Amino acid sequence: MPKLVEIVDLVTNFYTYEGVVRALNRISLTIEHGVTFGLVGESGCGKSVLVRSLMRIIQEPGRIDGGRILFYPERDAGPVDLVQQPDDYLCGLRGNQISIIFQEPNAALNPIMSVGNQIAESFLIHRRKELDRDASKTIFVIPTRSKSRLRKEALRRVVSLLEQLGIANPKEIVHRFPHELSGGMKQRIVIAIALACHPMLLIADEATSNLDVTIQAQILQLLLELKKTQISSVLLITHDLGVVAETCQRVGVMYAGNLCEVADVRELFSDPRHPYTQALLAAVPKFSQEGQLKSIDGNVPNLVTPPTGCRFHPRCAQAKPACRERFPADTHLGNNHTVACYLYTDQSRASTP
Amino acid sequence: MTDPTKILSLKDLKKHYPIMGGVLRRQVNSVKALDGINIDIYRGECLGVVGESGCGKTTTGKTIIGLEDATHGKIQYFPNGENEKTSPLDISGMGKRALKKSGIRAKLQMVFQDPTTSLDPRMLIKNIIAEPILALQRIGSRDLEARVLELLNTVGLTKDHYLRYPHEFSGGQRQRIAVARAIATNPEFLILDEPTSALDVSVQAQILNLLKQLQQKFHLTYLFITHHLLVVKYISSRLAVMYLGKVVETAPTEELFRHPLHPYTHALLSGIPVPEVGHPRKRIVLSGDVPSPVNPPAGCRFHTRCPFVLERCRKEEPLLEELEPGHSVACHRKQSMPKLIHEKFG
Repeated sequence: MPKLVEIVDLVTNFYTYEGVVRALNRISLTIEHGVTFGLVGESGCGKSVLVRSLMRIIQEPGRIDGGRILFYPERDAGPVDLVQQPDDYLCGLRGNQISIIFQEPNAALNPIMSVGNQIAESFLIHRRKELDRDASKTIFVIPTRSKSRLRKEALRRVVSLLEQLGIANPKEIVHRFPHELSGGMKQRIVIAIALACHPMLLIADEATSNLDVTIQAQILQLLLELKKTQISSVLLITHDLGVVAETCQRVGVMYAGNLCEVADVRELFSDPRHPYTQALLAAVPKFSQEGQLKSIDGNVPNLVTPPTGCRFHPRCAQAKPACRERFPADTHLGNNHTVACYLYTDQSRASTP
Repeated sequence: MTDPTKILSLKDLKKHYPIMGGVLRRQVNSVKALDGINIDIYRGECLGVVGESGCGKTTTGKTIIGLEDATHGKIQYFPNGENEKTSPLDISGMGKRALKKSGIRAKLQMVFQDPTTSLDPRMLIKNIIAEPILALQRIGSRDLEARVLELLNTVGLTKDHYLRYPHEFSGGQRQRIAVARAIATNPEFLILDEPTSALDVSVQAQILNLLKQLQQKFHLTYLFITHHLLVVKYISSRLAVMYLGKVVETAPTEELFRHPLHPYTHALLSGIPVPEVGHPRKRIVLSGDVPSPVNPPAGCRFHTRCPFVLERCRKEEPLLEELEPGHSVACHRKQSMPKLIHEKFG
């Protein structure tokens, strides 16, 4: 499958008073067209920093200090390096070709704007010409008041978008304000904003983490349906391994600013290779849980002074002296399965002559 | 049940929060957070309470412990070693002083959801853990120090942590401190209000295992409140499912997961994302949201979202009735429900 986004050796640091927080440590990752990619890890492992870097919305005191984010807007043409692009280009990109659903719908929505206007913003910014063309066909207003003409046309589109998302009574909903809606409904509005311009990549940053189980099931089902019809690829960020197992095709596991392992879903859950992935899977209660849960001793390290070498080595049962010294390079195990661990470096050398 | 002596019995427990309005600030309506709860809790068990947010799980815990006064109903406490024949104490009407004097306060303790907010940031760990002991008994300073160190040891912390402040600890360690504080008074009954939902997966397992250990060691009874069904499956022996201020189903955990009878329980169970691949399951996705507890629907509260609703469900409220030993459910169509679910969802 052709690539959509390719992240190469991305480094993002935060320059705080306490020191430099090394949030992303040379992350390399590829997302293909038509794939639902899940990114899992515990809090503070850099999942959100990674997608914020991808969107180039890292705020002070954070900075992208190295690496490339190659975006392939057209299948045949060459890539664009988002790290090098000026703000103008990025403004045209965000919400248009790449959009994001934020975690907390209460914080993502503007409390003093009706939800219809908030969704319409996407159209008014990215689809002005189309709106102008369509508006001249349908709405007869005095030409001098062109702004309200465009807004009317945009709202018409919002209503049809909400209809597609299966929201009951969209004509009334567009005039409501966020506080008048329930949590699940607000999350749908945030999804509608992200989907308005049919992005090529939809990033869902813990989109269902604050929702109840029955509402979460509704939202995940909606995302999967949209994935079939409207969007090319989805990057799903979550700490819930269950959500990943049920919705994604490929999974990346992050730990303390590193990407430990990337594999297809079935392979990752049936044959995890990295000790952290193995420990994480053993620590989650399962449906068919028998016997004790195996917890991981110790805590997630502080990223101002991360452990040397492999950042997991202080908690790893199989750590070797080499793990303490240098970070292991990615090892390809076949089947599109990559792991960054010294346990497999020798093996792969033996297998590839 | 191996140990059938009750420790607590909730009888038609209600908690309504008034909504004030109008010029005279009179009560215009009320939020029916708990609307007639009947549960028996047995000694030595871990009763899991599950449900979506706003269904009254936390209010149940707070009302039992006396942080909220019940609007109606009884909370009966059966003191240690006595069986049901001896008169139970109704603790819902007891004043603070009476609770403390009778020693019941020491026997019922609670661990809260978020350890960053439940520990006073300006108190040393030793004082945080010593506070409940000092409040309830007279103890010499040397004995107190020994007791606090013993408690720290029990929850897996060391002497080094004795003279520190909460901000110096990670989330998991803070929750350990909160647990140490709760067991400081040698309680019989612990209310655990989402003790792991603020924690990471790898740390969650540590705390769950610690809680299991403590339960065996001190013969504790737990009321484990959570929305995470796989966590509750791991730790609880019996489950109560709540919906909009009512208990809709109670059963032993294994039984509930195998044969859920209430359609809401069924939807909850089928909605959990399971961290395993290769187990395709039929999923029931409920439409709509939880109705407001200010004006709960008439009849069965679940009828607005139930796929099997009858005319009777809209008018008449089903009671929680025992269908099989230990398995109670509040549904008009409970007899035919397994068949209905099978026909509709396969």
